[in-house]
Amino acid sequence: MTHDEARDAMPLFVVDADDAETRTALLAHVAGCEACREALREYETTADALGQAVPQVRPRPELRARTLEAITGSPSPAQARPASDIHAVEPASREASRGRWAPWLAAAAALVAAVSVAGLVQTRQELADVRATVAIWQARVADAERNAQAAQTSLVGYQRQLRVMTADDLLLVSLSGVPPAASAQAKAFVSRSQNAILFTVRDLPPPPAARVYQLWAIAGGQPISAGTFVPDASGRTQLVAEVPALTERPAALAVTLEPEGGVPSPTGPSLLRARRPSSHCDEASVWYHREMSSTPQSSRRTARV
Amino acid sequence: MSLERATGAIDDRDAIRRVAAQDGLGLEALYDRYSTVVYSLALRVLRDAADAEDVTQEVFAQIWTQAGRFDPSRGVVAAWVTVLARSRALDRLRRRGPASRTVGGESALPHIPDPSPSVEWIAATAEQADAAREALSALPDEQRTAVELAYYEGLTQAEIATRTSAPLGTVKTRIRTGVQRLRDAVTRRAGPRNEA
Repeated sequence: MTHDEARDAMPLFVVDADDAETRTALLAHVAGCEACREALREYETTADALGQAVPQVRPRPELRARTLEAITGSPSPAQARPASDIHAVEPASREASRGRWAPWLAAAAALVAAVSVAGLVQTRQELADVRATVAIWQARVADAERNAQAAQTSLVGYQRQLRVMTADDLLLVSLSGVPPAASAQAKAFVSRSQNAILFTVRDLPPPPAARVYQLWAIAGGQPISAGTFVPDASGRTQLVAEVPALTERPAALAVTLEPEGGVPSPTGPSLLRARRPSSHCDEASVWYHREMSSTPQSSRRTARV
Repeated sequence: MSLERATGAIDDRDAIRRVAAQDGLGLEALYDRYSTVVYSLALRVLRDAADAEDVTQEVFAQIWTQAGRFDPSRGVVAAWVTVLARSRALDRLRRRGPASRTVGGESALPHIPDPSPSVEWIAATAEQADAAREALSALPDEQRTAVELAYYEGLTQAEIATRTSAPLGTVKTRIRTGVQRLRDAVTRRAGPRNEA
């Protein structure tokens, strides 16, 4: 791609209205061209200004306490604290913990770069999603390091996760929920060479009594179980599934509702599904299970962050 | 206004550091400064107050988990928050499916128009936002529509072509020309900027 072609591609790129081929060529070009990186920064600033150009509407005041409490798990003052308190609060472990996980940061940065180069990342938005996932694992690494007793065992697990996520044949698959789990969103990082699936999901409603969710990879026309799980109270799960039977690239991934202990092949309704995992993340599609279409319950708003 | 003044003592960089250390006060500061930006963009995309509230919660939850790897020197916080807000709002819009995309219904909940965005936010981005708003309204209708469908509704170039009954090449030209004009306006207004 020439400089002129890159400049032509940028306006469409920053509003995610380009095509995958042009995007790959543009990213390859700007990676080696400082002048075009600067030009791209101007366009990104422009896109961000569009986001801030909408009429400014203040959210309802109640949302503040609801949001802060849901996230931090502790009540936040309805009134702001006096300024003296603000200065009195000093995050004690901040400086101490900084630097110790620098190698992990570097590994994660390299991971994001590797994923980009492999062409798996299709848009800025998806890049942000990959970074979000990396950030979650990073946070867990940092937590583990703070907790000396747990660190040794946890680190082995995290090293395994990083090995999966840095595998040459890594596939990123997005899964979308179908009713009654319509709000559920999941990402799976699949490596055939590592025989493993790293899976994260959010906004998945709790399963009914005596039922669990089961993750499946469909390969060679056969469903292969990747284990069972129950999401936490906030509807989230993060797991690494060791799947020795995963010897070829899966054609689809799915999550079904099954009896406790799991089953050898799926029997329950499929609640999350992506077809044709490929390098094109946006091919993941919603799969609507007919049996579920008559379910009157809507869980769209039951799982709050 | 008292909320903004009190947590306003914490600047963006300090707030991000505090959030990275899981200090709730940092999150309060970011919420007081940026919740209107996040909520307003989500409301523009989703046109539903309840959904926009959910998105606001998701965005601040994401900030809580990701602040540790955000480097404030490499991008202003407002830009980061804006990208998160758009991404989460478009996720939710896509989950609704194509049928609801054209719905522009009024929200069931009352909106409180914000006559006084926070001082910090004005200082950081309002100039550029004003420039973008003015430039957007000055664009020819077909350019403005194409840019809005891409940015606020997350449509692909092919979907925009279908929606506006225009050839693909024409759609690309409209978006390109429109965004170029916006960039001209935004960079002119921003003027020479001090790099932090």
